Amino acid sequence: MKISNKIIALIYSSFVFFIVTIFWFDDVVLILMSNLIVFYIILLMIFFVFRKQDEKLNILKRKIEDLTSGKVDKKLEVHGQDEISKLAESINKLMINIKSKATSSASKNKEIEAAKVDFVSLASHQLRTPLSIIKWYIDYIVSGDAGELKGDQLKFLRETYKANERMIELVNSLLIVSRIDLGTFSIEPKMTNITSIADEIIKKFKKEIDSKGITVSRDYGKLPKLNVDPSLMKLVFENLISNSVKYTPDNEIIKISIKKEKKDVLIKVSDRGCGIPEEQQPKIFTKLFRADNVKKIESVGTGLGLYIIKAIIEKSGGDVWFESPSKELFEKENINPANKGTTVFIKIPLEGMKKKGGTKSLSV
Amino acid sequence: MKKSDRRTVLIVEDQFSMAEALSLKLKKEYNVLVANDGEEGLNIALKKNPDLVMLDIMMPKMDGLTVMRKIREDKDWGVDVPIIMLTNISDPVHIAEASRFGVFDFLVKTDWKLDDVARIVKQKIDKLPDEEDEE
Repeated sequence: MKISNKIIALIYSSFVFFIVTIFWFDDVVLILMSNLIVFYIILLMIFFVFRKQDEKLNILKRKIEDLTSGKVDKKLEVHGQDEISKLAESINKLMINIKSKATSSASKNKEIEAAKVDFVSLASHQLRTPLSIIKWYIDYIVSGDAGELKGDQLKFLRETYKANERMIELVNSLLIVSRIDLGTFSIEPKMTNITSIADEIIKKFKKEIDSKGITVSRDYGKLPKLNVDPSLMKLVFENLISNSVKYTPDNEIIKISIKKEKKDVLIKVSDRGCGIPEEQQPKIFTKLFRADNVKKIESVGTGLGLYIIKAIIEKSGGDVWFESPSKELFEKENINPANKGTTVFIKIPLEGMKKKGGTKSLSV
Repeated sequence: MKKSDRRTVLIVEDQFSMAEALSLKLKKEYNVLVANDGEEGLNIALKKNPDLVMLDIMMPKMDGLTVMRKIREDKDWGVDVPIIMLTNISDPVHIAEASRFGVFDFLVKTDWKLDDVARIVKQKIDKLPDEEDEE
């Protein structure tokens, strides 16, 4: 029953009682006394009606607070036919609704994540197939197996080959970034000599280094083996050294220093490239970002290298930052302001990387 | 070397042009057989018992890892025939599965030059015992 009806009923019954007492008793005092008692009883009943409603309102209030903070699991226990009980019933229905929507959106999210993982690995497979076909046929022609090449044919084919290699590099980087973003990559640490990884990568870029007449100066301290994932360290050095080689002008220096500190190993890679413009420095680790000055020097570049380095190092408990202009190499020299250079610093804790399970490796 | 003395390499690869490039490179030194799906590859392998098998992974009808397992089930020839996996994606799960069957050459096609692939094939074949010793 509605609360207002309850109160009207109580007032109405006290009025009826009053009429009845007038006819029943002759004594005015008795009439007044009995009515006074009934009046108090009715007041008390009204008080109980309100107190009960108050309790229900409190339960409702708490429940609505729960709802706003996302708790939708408990049903409201309010019984009765009054307005508050009906309101409680509506809230219960609303909660069931929210709950079912939340569950379906959670499973939808899972489906989307799975589709993304599938898409990445399928797309990279599909993209790599034509790239490897191009690579192998150019290889076959360049090696002279398909007949002798005339004039500039070899030169043009080598250019095509290079462009295809850049495309492969881009697909690889996109695959790595997707695996980083989806969190599906694993970290498998083992005792590793990181200076030999650095050397291996320098050797990998030897052709580019030699053709630009770049000097690579190495300064390795006495280092213990580190418990790191060698394939991830390879990726880090590959991106670091590739950037330095790409942006260092001909006949300049790249300095690589790897030294043990108190709690970490500090890797410094300094180049004498164009540096990073001050106003763009805050964005340098963001995905796909390339500074304006490097776009002018080298139109190709993925803008993914530093993003990959940062993701790997930070997920492994290390730290990465940079300095541009680089004080490391050029502090005391009077250098061309166009070649102010950059030093990238990487700190890896001496205890190494923590193992992390995952379905994919980052070494594509 | 007479053609009949040559070693035989089986290429199982669903991409026709990929198989063709490899075959062009290898057929100067070896007899080359080509299959364009896993099932055909397994049939040819069991019938012809080649000296080396190159297997793609993602293929119609039967994937490369299944072909590899079935080849290894052949106790006379397949149990220790050298297998090179050729793939476009280096999935650690696939690599682990292949290494359980003694297959450690897992080449991501975009990472390898055709010449280098041919060199690995040569290394594997050079390690094989002479045919006379086998008999």
